[in-house]
This record gives sequence, C-alpha cells and structure tokens, in this order.
Amino acid sequence: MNVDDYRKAYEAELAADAATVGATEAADSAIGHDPSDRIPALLATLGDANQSLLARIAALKAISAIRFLGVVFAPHRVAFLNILRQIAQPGTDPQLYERALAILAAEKDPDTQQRLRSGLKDPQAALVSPATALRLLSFDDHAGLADLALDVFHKAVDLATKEAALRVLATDAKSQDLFAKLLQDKSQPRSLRALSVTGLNYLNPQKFAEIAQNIVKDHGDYEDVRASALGALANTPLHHVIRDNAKFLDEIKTLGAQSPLENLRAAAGRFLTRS
Amino acid sequence: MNVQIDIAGADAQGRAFLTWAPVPATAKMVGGADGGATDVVLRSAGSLGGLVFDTVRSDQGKSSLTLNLPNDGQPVAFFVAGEFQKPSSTFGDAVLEASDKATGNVLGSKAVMVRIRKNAQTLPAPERDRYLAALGILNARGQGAYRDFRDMHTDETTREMHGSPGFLPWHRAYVLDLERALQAIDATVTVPYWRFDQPAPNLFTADFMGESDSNEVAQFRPGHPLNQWATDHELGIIRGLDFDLNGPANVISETATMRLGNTYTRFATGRLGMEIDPHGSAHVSFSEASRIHFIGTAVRDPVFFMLHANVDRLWAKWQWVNHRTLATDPAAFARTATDNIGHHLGDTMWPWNGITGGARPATAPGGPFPATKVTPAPGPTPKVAAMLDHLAVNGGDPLGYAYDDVPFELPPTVVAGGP
Repeated sequence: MNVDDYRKAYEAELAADAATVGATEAADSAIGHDPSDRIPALLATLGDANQSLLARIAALKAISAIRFLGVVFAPHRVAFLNILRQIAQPGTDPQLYERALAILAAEKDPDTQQRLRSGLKDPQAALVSPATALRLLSFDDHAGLADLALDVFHKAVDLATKEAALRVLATDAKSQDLFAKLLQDKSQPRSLRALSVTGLNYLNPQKFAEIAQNIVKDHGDYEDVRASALGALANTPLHHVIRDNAKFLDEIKTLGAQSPLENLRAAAGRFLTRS
Repeated sequence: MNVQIDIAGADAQGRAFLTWAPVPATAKMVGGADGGATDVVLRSAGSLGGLVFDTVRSDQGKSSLTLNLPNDGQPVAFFVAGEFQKPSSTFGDAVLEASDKATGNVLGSKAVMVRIRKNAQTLPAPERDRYLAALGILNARGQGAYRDFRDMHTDETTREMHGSPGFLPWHRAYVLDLERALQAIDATVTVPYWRFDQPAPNLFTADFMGESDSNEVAQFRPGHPLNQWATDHELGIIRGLDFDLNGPANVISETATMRLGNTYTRFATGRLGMEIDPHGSAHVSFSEASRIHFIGTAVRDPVFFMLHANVDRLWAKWQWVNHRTLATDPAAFARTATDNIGHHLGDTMWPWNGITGGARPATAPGGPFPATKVTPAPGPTPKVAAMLDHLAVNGGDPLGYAYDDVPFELPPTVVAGGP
C-alpha cells in the first residue's frame, strides 16, 4: 500500500475511535500529570477490607503497573508492603491473599520467606501448597532451597510437588545422580524424566550426553522423553562433539526423515539444522 | 554481458537484509562493450518479499526502475527498500532482478531478505521455529549470552531504564541488542512482537512461548528449544495468565495509546503515560507469581522481549503518526532533571557505555552495543538521541529494523533525496 494511503487509513481509524471515547478522554485529561497522584487512593482501596474483592484486586493491579515507574513509586514502597503484610494473613480471601504473598516473596520479604519455608517443613503451618511455596521461594535465587526441595521431593506423593522440587534441584550440583537415575528409569512419570533431561544437562552435560544418546536410540522408550532428550542434545555445548559421531548422526537423520512420531521428527530436524 | 548489483550493508557472505528504509545500491554492466549504454530495468521478482526502487532516497519507491547503465562498467547508483507490507519469510524470497529493457533478457539478479519484525500471533511456523531455536541457543541452559541480558534489567539497575524519559529509548536499544545477538546465530531472525491489546492465543502455546499449566509453569512440546530454559538458577518459566487466553491482556488499546497525547511527556511518562498502561499493565496481566510481573525478574521470561517489541512498535507508530522522530523537536522527547544521568538526549546509555559506579550500576554486563554489517547505527556506545529515528526518516543511518505496520515516510520537512 502507498504510504500516503496508509496514513490516511490509519488516521481515519484513530479519528473514528476518538469520536467514540471523547467524553471519557476529556475527563481523564483534566487530571494532573504526576503518576504519583493516584497512588495514595489506590493504596487506601487495597488496604480497605470493606472494599469489594474486585476493587481491591483492581487497585493491586493498578499499583503493580505503576511500580514499573521505579523511582516514582519508591516513596510508597514501605506503605505498600505493610498493606500486603496485613493482607497476607489467614482470613483474607485466598485470591487476594496469594497475590499479596507472591509480591512479598518477590520482594524477598524475610518473614514471608520464613513462613513459606516453615510450611514446607510442617504442612500444618503451610500458607499455600508445597509447589506454590517452592515457586514463590524461587524468586530469590540465593534462597538456598536445595536441601529443603530434596526433602519435599522424597516426601511428596503428588506429581506437581515433585516437579516443583526438581525445578529447584536442577541447579544443585549434588542432585545430578538423582537426575541421572530418574532419567534412565522408565517406570518414573514422564514429566519427571523430562525435567531430569534439563536438570542433568544443566548440571553435567557430559553425563547427560551419554545417557541421552542411548535414550534417543531406544525405540522402546517413550516418544516425548526421546524427543526431550534429542531437543536438549541440540542445545548442549557438546553438540558439535555429538555430531562427529557418524553412527549417531545417521540415526538422527533417519529419525528426521522417517519417524512417524512428530515430536521426535521435529527434534531431529532441529538437531540437524543446528550449525 | 551481465549486471552486477551491490547493496550497501551486505554481510560477509554478500547477503543484504533490508527493511522499509531505502539503502544505497549500485548496478553496473560487467563484460559489456566499451562504449554506449544499455537501458536496464530493475524489478522486484521474489516469491514473497517485495522491493521498491528509486533514484533518490524517498518514500515513493516503485516496483521497477529503469537505469541507463554505461557499457564500460561505470556503476549507477539507486536506492532499494522493502516494499511496505510485503516482508520476507526467509532469505532469498525477495529478489532484485535486472533485465535488458530492449530484449527482456535477465542480465542479473540478487537475492535479499526484507527482514521485518512481525506480529507473533500470525507469525508463520518456520519463522517462529527459527526464532525459538536461536533463543534457545542464546540461553544455552542458563549459561549463554542471555545471562548478560538478564543481568542488565534488575532491581539494582532500574533507574537506568524506568520512571524517566529514557524508558523508551533504553528498551529500544535493549530489544535491538537481543535481536542482533539472535541474528548472529541465525541472520533471518527478528524479534516478533506480542500485540497485547489483541487476542494472541497462538503465542501462549506449547509450540511457541509455552502453555501455562495449573501450577503456573510454561509447558512446551517435547524437544522444544525452550524446554531447557534456565535463568538465575531457575529452571523453566514461571508464568500464569491473569487474562483470558482468547482475549487481549488487561491493557488499553493501540488507538487509545496513540491518544495518550502528541507530546512525548504525555505519551510516554505522564500520569496516564504508556509506561504505566499499556506497558506496566501488560506486565501485570500475568499472575503475581509470574516472573514477568516484576522489573527485577521480568527478563527470566523471554516473553519480555516480545512484550517490549510491542511497546517499541507503539512508540514507533506514535512517532510516525505525529512526526516525532527528530531529536531537536521538543515534543519528541522530554526534559528531566540535570542529574538524571542517562535520560537526556546527549547522554550515553548504560550498560553499553561501560560506565559503572556513582549514579550508574556497579557493573556493566554485555559490553559495547553489537555492530552489524547492515548499518553503522547506533554505534558501540549509543546515546539516547540515537534511538529516536529508527528508520532514519530524517537522514543518517537507520537502526536496521522495522515493524510490519510502521512505514518509512519522510517527514513534511524532508524532501525526497535529502538530507
């Protein structure tokens, strides 16, 4: 399209839209231009238990958006966190409660982190599910969660908690044997084996490459596990070394060309096109 | 007798990557007679990407151009650009063909790519997959160069890029830096934008940026390049949607964004400025457990760059609509306190300037701004002003990228052919 015509069309679109919202916009533009003007009223709404849940969540979202202004929000940060601490107490609606807890965890609030840790050790004291607690504690990359996560992994009976624990353990050097064991054990849930692909590749690429090549070649193993392993081999620092293995490369070429399994075929394609 | 075509900014393999901004090129006869000249028609002959030509730098290029080429091999200059709204999908699907006007015989051709940032929702699968593969390699299980990008945007560095006029220029540079890193892996890749004011169900799928499960973990198809995603010792991407997957995020529309005001202050950083909504609102359209929800952890989620490509697109579109690309235009940027270092037009931007300590952060990850053969802009230590005119409509060098819905249009004050 000619640029002049394109401009006319876009300006017409803007004009048509402006006509439908003129009154609202005029009211908005009558308010001042300082973003911090809005913050006290929003904090008051958020902290007011008599306000509706929707109004309080809307205020929280609006404050969260304004927080992207960084220094502009800084003078209000302490008041905001204090309100969140009040909200993050038993008795608050769970929808608001969990949101407040997440923000406090992201802020690395020591009391919140301690309460989340306590809940992982003692289910009676848990604020949220173990999987959620691990996700929230992981905001802090210096949280030192490995021992706690390993304990959670062994005690947990539900898959979601085990998965969350493995995500934490994936950066713990001591956990590489656990990942190697899970990855090679066909009786394990496939989601745990898929996470073990990533975990072992992260912790010990050499060991991972050896195990993964065997899994990829094993036609009796599950497609998704084989595809995950092959996809990871395309993304390992040892990729070029693995490509030098002519026999394995032929196997991948065959998979890429002939495998009836879509994920495996696609992963083979990615492995082969990686330069 | 052949025609040789040379386009400025070709890479080491001779490949030219174009946007909507015209770039200089030459055509010359090779193996012709000593005297006389031949009328040669240049035309766009690709299977997908379109090209336009002109003898001067203009926004009125045509799909064919006749040049009178001296047979002795003297080059003749012209300008070539991608034809607006006819982007390439891959290298070589745009072709510049030169033929003898008298006989119609093809005397030469040059394969190029019209490399344009596109809407992620409608991105063709092959382009999506190349983008993802490059992103996965850049991340390299948390140990690749993506770590530098992660380290640039943290709680400790916030003042460099948020809450001040430099918000939009800094993030423009940031997305471009990442894009160039991806292009060093695969030159055909651009950063797609997440148009957050429209439904984008194709984006949050197991094939693309991950489908959030009930535990707010992005799930990918087995073998997906982002299955290995890791940042900050965190495996995977924690992301929950607080909006309907089949609807827009909780943001104002594009047209409402354009109406925020026709000065930069009102548009970008004011009380109702776009840094809050749609930008901040897009970030917090995800659950509070989502890493993208917070400045300090947002870059753990690679959707960050697609969100910010859209923020940049909105700025680029606002600049185009209002002709606000000239650094000397007081409405094109905002003034700020003298000591607000990094947010004046003449300030260099951290971390690319390498300055640490004092008002700047303690470290400067990533090094200087990466160079590209496509354009010398913005240089290794870009200033804020260098980011204002991404297509160089006022002259100078473009930044080497463009959006599929923001055209190259000369401002009213600039005539074709100059500056």
